[in-house]
Amino acid sequence: MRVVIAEDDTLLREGLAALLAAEGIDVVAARPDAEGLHETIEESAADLAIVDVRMPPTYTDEGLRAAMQVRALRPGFPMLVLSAHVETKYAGDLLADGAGAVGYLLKERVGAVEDFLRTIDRVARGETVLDPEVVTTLMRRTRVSSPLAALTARERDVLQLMAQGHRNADIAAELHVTEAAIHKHIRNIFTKLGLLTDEAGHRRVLAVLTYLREQ
Amino acid sequence: MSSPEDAGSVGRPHDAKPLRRLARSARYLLGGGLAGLHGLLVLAFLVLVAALSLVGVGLLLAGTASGLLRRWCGAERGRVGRALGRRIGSPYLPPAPGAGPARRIADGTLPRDLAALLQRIVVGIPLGAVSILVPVLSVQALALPAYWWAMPDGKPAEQFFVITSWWLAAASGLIGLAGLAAWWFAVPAVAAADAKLLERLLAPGRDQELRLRARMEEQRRRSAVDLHSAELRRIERDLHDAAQNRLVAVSMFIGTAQRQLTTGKGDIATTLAKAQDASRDALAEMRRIIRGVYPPALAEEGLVPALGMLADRMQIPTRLHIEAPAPTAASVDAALYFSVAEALTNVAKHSGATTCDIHLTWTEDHGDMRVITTVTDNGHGGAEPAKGTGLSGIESRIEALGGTVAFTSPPGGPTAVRMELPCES
Repeated sequence: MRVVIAEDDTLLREGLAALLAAEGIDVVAARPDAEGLHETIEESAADLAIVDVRMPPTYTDEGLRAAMQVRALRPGFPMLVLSAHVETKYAGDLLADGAGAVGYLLKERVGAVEDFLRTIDRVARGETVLDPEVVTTLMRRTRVSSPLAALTARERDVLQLMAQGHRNADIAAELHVTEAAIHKHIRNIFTKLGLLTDEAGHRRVLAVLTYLREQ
Repeated sequence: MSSPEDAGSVGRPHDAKPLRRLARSARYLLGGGLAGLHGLLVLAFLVLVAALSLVGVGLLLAGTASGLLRRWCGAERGRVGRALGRRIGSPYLPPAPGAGPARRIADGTLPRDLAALLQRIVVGIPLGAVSILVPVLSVQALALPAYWWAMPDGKPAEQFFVITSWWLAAASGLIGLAGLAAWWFAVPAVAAADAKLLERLLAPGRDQELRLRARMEEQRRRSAVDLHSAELRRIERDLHDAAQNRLVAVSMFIGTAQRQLTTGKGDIATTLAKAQDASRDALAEMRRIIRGVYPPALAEEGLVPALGMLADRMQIPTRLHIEAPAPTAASVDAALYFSVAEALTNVAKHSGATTCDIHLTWTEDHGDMRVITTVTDNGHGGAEPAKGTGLSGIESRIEALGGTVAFTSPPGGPTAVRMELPCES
C-alpha cells in the first residue's frame, strides 16, 4: 500500500512514517502542511492519505479542507483524518458524499498500533471508520425528534458499532449475541431509518450518515 | 501653588499683571465676537439643512451639519479652555460599533451645542463689539477737548457729541476717562463670567458624563474579555501544538515498541528512548505553558521578588526601587509582571540603554490603593509606540484591570513606560 502523510509536527510525522514503514507500508510522501495535497497524491500514485486536521498556516481545519478537496476531485479516495479533538461537524463533512473509504480518528489512537493498522486497512478497502469518541458524542446529541429516536437502545448500540466500521460478526461478539440477532437489528434499523435500497454496503453508510445529519 | 495655566486664565482678580490680564480678557472677548460671526454661518447652514430636511434631501446633509456644529463647538472648547486655563472635556460618546449616523447625532449633545452656538451669537458678538468700541470711543472722547482747543475760535468740534464750550470739553474728557476705567475694570470680570457660562454649555452635561463613563466601563470590560479570550486561545494553541502532540508521540512510540515486541523486528530500546525524550519534552512544554499562565515565581515569591528576578535576568544593570508597598490582587500582580517583562524586553531589544530602572510606588487615591510602576531606561529614545506590538500588549493588560499606561520616548531619551492601576480589581 502507498500512503501519503500530511502532519505538521515533525516528530509525529517521522514517527508515523517509521511505524508504517516497519509494517511494510510504503510511505511515498510525508508533508508538513496540507498545501497541494491532491497533487502530491496524484504524483505519488498513493492509495490512501493520512491527514491531520489542524495544520499551518491558520491551525484550524486546513487538513480537513484539503481532504475534502481531494475527495471532490477523486470521489471515494481513501482518507484517514486525524484530529486533536472530537468535532462531529468534521466527521459529518467527511461522510457527506456517502462514498465511504473514510476514517476519522482522534490522534492518540495512533498509540494503539494494531488497531490503527487495522483502521488503515479498512479505510483502504472502502469502509467507514469513526472514532468511538465521535460516535458517543453523536449519540449523546441525538434529538428526540430525529428518526434515531425510534430506535431501541439495543438497535442504537448496533448502529453505534456499525458507525465505527465493525462488521456484523464483530458487533455480535461485542454485544454477546448471535450474528442472526444482529442481522435482525440491522434490518430494523434500516426500516426505521427508511433505508429501503438493497445495496447492502451502501445502506450501512446511509445509516451512519443519518446519524451525522441528525446531530 | 498655581500652575502656569492658572496664570494664563482670564479675569482672575489676584493676577500679578493687571495689564496683561486686561489684554488677555479683551482678546478673549474679541475672539468670542469672531466665534459668534463664524457661528452665524454655522447657524445659517443648520437652518438650511433643517429646512431641506422637511423635503427629505436635507437628511443627506445631516451628518455634515452635525459635524460642522461639533467642529465649531470643539474649537470653542479649545478657546474657552485656554482662557480658563483648564481643559474642557468633549461630551461626544465614541461611536458605538455599528451605530449609524442618526444614532451618532442623537447622543443627547445637540441641545447644549445649539445653546452654546446661540449664546455666542446673541451675547458674544455684542460683547466682542463693545470690547473694541468702548476703548476706541473713550480715547476719542478724551482727545476731543484737545481737538476743540486746536480749532480756530468759535468753530465746534464734533464727534459723537458737539463741543462748543469748556464745560462740554471737560465733560467729554470725563466721559472718556470713565469709559476707559469702566473698560479696565469690567472687561476681565465680563470675560470671566462669559467664559464660565460657555464652559457650562460646552462641557459634558451630567447625563453625558454618566453615559461617557458607562461607555468607557463597557469598553474596559470588553477589552478585558477580549484579552481573556486571546489568552485562552494562546494557551489552547500552546497546549495543542506542544503538549498534546508530544503526548501523542509518547503514546505512538510506546505503541511502536509494543508492536516491535510482538513482531520481533526493530530496535525496541531506540523506540523507548524516543518515547522517553518525547515525554520529557511534554513536561518541559507544560512547565513553559504554566509559566505563561501564571509565573511560578509570582505564585511562590510574590510580586516584588518576581520582578527582582526579571531585573536580574537583564543584560544591562537594572535596579528595582520599591516605595511604600501594599498588597495587590493576584490579577494585578500577573498583569504587572507580564507588562514589566514586556517593557524590559523592549529596553533590551530597541533602546540601546546601559542602565534601566523599575520604580514601584503605592499611593492612596480617594481611599483606593493604586500602584504606579515605571520602567525607565537611559537609551536613545525616539521609540514609536505604533511600531511594536509590545506596548499595545501592555496597554490591553493594564487597561483591562482599569489602569492607564503612559509612554514617553523623546528623541535622545529617556524612554519611560508608566503603568498605574488599582491594587484591587
